[in-house]
Amino acid sequence: MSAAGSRSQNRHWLLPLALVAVATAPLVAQALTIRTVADALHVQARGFSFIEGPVLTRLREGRSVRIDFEMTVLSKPEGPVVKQTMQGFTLSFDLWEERYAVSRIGSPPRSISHLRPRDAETWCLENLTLPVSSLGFSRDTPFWIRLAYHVPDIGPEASEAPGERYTLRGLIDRLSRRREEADLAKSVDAGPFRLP
Amino acid sequence: MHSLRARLILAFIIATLMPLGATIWITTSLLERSLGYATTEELDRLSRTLEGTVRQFYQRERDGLKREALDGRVAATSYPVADMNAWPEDVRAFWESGEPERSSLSGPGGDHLDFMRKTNAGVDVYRRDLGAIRMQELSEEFRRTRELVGSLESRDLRRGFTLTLLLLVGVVWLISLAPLLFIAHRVSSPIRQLTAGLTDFAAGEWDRRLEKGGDDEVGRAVDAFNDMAEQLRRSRERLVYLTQMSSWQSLARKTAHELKNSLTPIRLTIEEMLARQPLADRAFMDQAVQIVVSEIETLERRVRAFSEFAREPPANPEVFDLNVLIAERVALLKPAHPETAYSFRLDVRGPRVHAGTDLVKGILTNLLENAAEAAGPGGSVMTISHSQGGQAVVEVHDSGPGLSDEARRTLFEPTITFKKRGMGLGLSIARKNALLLGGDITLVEGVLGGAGFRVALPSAPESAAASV
Repeated sequence: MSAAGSRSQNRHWLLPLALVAVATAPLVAQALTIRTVADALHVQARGFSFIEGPVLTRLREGRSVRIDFEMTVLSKPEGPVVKQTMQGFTLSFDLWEERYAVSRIGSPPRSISHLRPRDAETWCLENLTLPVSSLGFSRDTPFWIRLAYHVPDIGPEASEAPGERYTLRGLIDRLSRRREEADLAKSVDAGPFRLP
Repeated sequence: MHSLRARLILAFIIATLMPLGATIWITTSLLERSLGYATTEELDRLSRTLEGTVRQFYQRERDGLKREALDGRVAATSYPVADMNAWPEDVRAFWESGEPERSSLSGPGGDHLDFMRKTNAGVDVYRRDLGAIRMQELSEEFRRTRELVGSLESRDLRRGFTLTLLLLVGVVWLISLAPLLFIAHRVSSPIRQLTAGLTDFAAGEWDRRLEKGGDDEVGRAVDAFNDMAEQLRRSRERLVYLTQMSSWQSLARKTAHELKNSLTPIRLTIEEMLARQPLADRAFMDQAVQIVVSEIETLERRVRAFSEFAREPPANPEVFDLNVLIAERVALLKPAHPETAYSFRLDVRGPRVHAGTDLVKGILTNLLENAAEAAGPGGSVMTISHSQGGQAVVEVHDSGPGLSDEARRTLFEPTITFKKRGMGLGLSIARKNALLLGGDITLVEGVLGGAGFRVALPSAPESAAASV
């Protein structure tokens, strides 16, 4: 047996391990953790990345992207909603410095710039909180969390103005559009959690 | 596809689809050719190249400024912590960020580069002029270019233009089809009506007439149909009447013959019986024979009437003035009905008739006698003459009680009457003779309150009338 063949046989045990690793990767990658700061419940999502795919492409073309987050506390998996909070963010990308900027929509507005992608994602989740007192849970009460985001209008922008909807230009625009996902959404459920 | 409407629609479709298809083909070919000149790919490549170049330029300037700042080759603007309230917003944001140093654009349109560095005393800011290169404006230009590229790439313009063209052409075509359907219906409707009319008429609906549409060929065809139907109806009526008359004449002829054959021996036998009767019973026999002979004479008159009815009189047509004949007939009538008033409304041009004079005399005599009898003593009779539609017309009206519906219905049918005067065959004979002359007798609305008869006779040709 050649040395190459021996190395090949020795590596056979790696294949099942690799398959297990690939299969469990999404679960591990999207694991949620919670923490409380004062009365605020924060969620951390390891591997819950949203600056990727069409969002990243759009940002790298110098365009801003709005992302709406939704954090839902459930009393059971797929169970009734105990509390829900929503928060929108606007992301932009500095083409020359190659850093991200994030603005929190709503009151009070907050913004931050010169962030790396992971830092921008973390900052968004940091600013998505729920008051612990509003949950009415004791420390032993188990609960589940659903974290979701939604990127509206990620598809190609309509070139016609609203008034041009029924004009020749508007008609050509609509009939020439390729089928693409207009919206982008993703969610992850995790639990049970207990208040620390 | 057998109906006229369907054929018209098919003709429209065939006539329009071919040029329509050619137009679409030419337009889409031109469109494809013009879209071939689109520069989306070039724009995409150029924008990305420009982005990379500008980024390299920026980063080189940024690193250069940083180096010069750290080497102390460029002067800094210091922002001491003590004056934090007076700091510009970007310096304050940098201070709060936790970053040790930061580069950012400043100035109008981003034509300056700032390098910020935290020190023990606060923040030092180093600035470099980018030589009128406005980085933020470039960012905006790049964004717009990428947006345009993205928009173009997300669209299939050829499909969009083609579908729009097909849609609009289709809509216009369908819109133009709608009035065609209407017009086809309008055009074919009178023809369908005409066809239905002819079919019904052929099936025996002699009174079928069509509503006149326009003044075009179809309208004239409808008029022609109506005229033809009316003429056919009249001809048919005349034919039927003459056929009936022929049957009645045949019957009358036979009846008259049989009666005549029987009456002659009866009269001779009665006269013989009277001659052989003894003188003692002569008075009674005279009276009885007189009664029988009188009845035989009545029957003989009836037989003569039947014979007259069955006779085919010679026509011998000639041209004469209708007004003159009317005056002559009325003059002959007056002695028999002296208490009746006679009036005239005659055409001064004197309608010329081309017909058998004796037959016309017979017709007028019959109508005038009937009118005088119906009017009675103190009544009145009016005679009217005029020309109409190539015919000479004479009307006879009376002030009598008029005719009942039943009498109107059977007026011209030969009947046997037992009234003192007349056999009930006069009007039948008159109408038969009028028909044989090429005219007719019809009932009209009486102008004196009683009955009114209208006799139409063939007018004399112009040349013949002039020579009279």
